[in-house]
Amino acid sequence: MSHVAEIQVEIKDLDALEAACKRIGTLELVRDQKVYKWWGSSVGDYPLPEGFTAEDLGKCDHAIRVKGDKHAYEVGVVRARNGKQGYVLHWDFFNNGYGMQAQVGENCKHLRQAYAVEVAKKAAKRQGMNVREQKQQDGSIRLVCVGR
Amino acid sequence: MSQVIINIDAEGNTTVSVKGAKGKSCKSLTAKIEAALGQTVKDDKTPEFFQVVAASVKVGQ
Repeated sequence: MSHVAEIQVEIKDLDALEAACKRIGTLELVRDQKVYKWWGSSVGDYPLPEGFTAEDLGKCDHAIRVKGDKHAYEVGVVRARNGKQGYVLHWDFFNNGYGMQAQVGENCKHLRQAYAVEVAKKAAKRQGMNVREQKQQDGSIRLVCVGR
Repeated sequence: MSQVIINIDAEGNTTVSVKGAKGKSCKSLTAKIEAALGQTVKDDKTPEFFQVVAASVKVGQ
């Protein structure tokens, strides 16, 4: 092995995010949905996301919802600020987001993992590599990519 | 044949590593995958990285 790189994953590819929702199965990305469902006002119990004000909450560029669930809160896909690339995920996890957290995981970790898998597979395939996916016992997913 | 191994744990922590590529060629294999994923925050080179690809040296008279 000749180098190991640690990557801070950034959500930049909406197609891969859509594929991540399909991978989880119960989620769908709704492009250009400009508001996401949440409690409706900040009660100030948690710090606001970096670069955002209380007025920004509830507004988004795209949204993710639980298919066929009218009660679940939604995840806002919001363009990052402060010179950062891509999108950030905003959502209200009060009462586990009324069913959203069971799908996206705490801190959206299931969704982030699914996104990273999809975007990495896409990038490897674009370079002509064959990709084999292996689910590990500890819940991690390993992609073995073999070059030409 | 070289292999790129991408590991994404249950928290979403992601690493990219290469097996079987010598020297800087492994970096070119993964650069686009790393860029598609996001920011590379740490990059540890293992001994294989420092192997010189053309190891044969002609000794002149």
